[in-house]
Amino acid sequence: MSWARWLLFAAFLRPLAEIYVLVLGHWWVRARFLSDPTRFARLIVQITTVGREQVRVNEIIAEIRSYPLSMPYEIWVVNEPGHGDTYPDADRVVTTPSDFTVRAQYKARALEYSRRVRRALGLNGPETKIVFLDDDTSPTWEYLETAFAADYDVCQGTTAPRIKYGSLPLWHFLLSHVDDLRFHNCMTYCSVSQGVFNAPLFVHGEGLTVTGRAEEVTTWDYPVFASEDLTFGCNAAARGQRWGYFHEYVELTSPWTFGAYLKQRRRWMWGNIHAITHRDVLPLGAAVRVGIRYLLSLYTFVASGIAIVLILSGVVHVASWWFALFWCSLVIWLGNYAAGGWVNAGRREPGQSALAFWTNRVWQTIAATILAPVTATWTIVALVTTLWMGNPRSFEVIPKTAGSRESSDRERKAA
Amino acid sequence: MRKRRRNGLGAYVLVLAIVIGTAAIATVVVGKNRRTLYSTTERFHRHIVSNAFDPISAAERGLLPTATSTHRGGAHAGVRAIVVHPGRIVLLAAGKPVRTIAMPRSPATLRAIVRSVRDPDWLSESHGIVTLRAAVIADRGSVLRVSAPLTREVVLTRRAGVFLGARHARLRLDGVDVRSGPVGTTDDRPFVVAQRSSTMVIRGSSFRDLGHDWNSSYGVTWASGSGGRVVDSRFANCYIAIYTDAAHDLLIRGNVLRRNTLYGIDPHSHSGHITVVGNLSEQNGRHGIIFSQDVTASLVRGNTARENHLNGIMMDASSTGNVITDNVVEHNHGDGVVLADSADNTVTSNRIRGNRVGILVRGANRQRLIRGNDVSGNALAAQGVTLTGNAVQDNGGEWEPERVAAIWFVAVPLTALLWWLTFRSRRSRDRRQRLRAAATA
Repeated sequence: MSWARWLLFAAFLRPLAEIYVLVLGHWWVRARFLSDPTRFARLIVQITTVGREQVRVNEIIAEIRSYPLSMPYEIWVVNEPGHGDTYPDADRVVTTPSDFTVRAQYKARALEYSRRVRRALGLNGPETKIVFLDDDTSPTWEYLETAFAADYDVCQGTTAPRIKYGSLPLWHFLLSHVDDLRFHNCMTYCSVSQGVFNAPLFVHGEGLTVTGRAEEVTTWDYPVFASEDLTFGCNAAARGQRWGYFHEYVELTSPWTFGAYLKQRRRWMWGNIHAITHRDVLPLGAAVRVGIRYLLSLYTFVASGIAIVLILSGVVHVASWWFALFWCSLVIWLGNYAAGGWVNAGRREPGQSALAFWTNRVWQTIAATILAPVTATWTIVALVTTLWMGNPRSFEVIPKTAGSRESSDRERKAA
Repeated sequence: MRKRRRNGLGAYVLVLAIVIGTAAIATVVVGKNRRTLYSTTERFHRHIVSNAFDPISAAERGLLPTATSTHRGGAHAGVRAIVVHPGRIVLLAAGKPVRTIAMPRSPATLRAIVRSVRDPDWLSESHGIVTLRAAVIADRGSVLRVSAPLTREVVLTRRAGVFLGARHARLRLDGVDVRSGPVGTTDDRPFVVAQRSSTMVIRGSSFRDLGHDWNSSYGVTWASGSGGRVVDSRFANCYIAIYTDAAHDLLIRGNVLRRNTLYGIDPHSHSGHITVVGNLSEQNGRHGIIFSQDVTASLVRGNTARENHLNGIMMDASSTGNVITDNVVEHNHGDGVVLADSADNTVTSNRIRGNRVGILVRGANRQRLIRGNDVSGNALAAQGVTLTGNAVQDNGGEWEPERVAAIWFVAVPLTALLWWLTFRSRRSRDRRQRLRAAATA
């Protein structure tokens, strides 16, 4: 049974392996990443929204407008009919017609519609860069500059749940730290899979940057109701588009309530399952990759949990140098969470004093480290729970700000 | 700002960080002489002895040895005792006198008792071999001698209530082979016990297959204020070879204690002034020598505790003020010298080698002196204590300077190699960028 024992123990070494993966990815960014802003003529920053977060979207537009961007750019808002469409600072507001029908549904359908608009406007060439944002996403100035200059057909940077990170209420504090893992995964796996291997494992719609040509070649028209970003990214790679990854942050918001968190994860989970199980959505290679990613997460959690119990109960003994290696791995694992807390708390809100900023940053770093076991467990619990809840078969949106959460609560109570 | 970052030293810093990190991990993991430290925690069932009668009181009352004050049971016809008083012998069956025999006041011998009782159903003698089928108890003021050449061997039949004991008396065993009979169960194995301020002196004797897991019934026991000495004797396959309970002024010297179920030497429960000198305690099922529960002011000197299943020498549960010196403690499966919840002991000049942990201190860390010991070849030199002032070498857990040097020696050229690769990569990237820019233009 020694092979079974080592199969369990191998899970302990994952953080150690991940640190090498992470360093490889970031070495690639610094040593191999191609950048040439002269190749591109314009940047379109597209915010795709159902339309419920009008205030937040206008904030994002104002934020982008405040940046001294070095390239010609336009800000597009793509929304659904039936919601407010007052975006005074946007260059173009594209409302997806109700009768627009393609294979794609929900957000992918809107994205496909916006692609067709761009084609009609002649913005589907290699000189056009498009950065896709969600209605809870703030790109940094460096992000937009780097994304524009990146000499790749498709690329993206790092997602960090920096907006209102770790702030109260308690659920938001906890869920912010649950997203520490999301940041870690992006830093580790996106960097290598997208940058080094041109074979994405994760793709996030927040900050996804493509050329007009790559979007035209790939399209958004796949029979999906969710996970349109993963579908697009993997199909782009399968169609020969070159992927890149860079180390800049696109800032997003963690869910505000547990219900919203579950709703979001359920959408991702079943969107990914749908993608993995349908060959007209994901190519086989990508499906296998993403499937293995899920199995690896489950394996790591279950195997390390069992191994800890067996070691503590004295059922199995570990040679002391293996034990030392496991401790190193544990320290790195906690260090990953600490780093996540440090980076995610790195957004200084307007008017925030230096003392308040640094105090909060240190506190969030400590909290992220202490909560690491909870965060890891929570993620797996959510994975299993959303599986148990079943396929939502729809793109359920969640409130992105504390304000929209309260109005959503009011609407629900009124209903 | 972006330009500076992209063209800066980031890639080189990353390479340096990962090489240093890897070297640090390698140093922690393989830079030490690591040996496997197996857990010594084992389950071992023992009876809970509470409110039990001492063996002599139980035999006097005709109670089975397992009787307690709450579950006495009735007097049992099979429980018999020959009680030796000065000038007479009383035979008890089921706690009642059945015969009284007059004896001379001079010290009694087993042979004389056999001849007085003249009933082989109680005890018999043949060619210097005395077989007991009832307990023989030297009671208050009496003296009982069992000595070669008159008595060379004492066989204690395995049945309830058979043992050799003394209470407020003197018992001397000299050159005698004491063993239990071959027939019976392990739980009935007889034993030798001196209690209530008795003096038991044992010299040049051997004890085999004695004792079981019950109150003062473990092997050879000095209890409740008894003392004496046991020298140059051999103990094998007993439950606990030598046990004391609130005993004092006992000399244990030059004995060999081998393959006993639990311990070789086990002074226990408020015993004091126990001198354990020059004994060999080996291959016992648990510890070689253990002092437990307030055993104080005692000396453990010049003994060898080796190849025991657990620890060599152990001070346990507030056994304080003892001196452990000049012993050889080697190749025990557990730890060498263990001081568990026992402060103020002195551990000096012992040779402790080939054990799991050389010296382990837990619970009460304040020790009088741990110095001049030779601690070598153990899986770990010490736990819970620093060994300054001791000769510590070739134990697990010690840094291996050659290995550490080799790791960092490799790290330097590796960094240089990776830096060179980084430089080449960046140069090729820049060339590619220039070519693409030219093509675009």
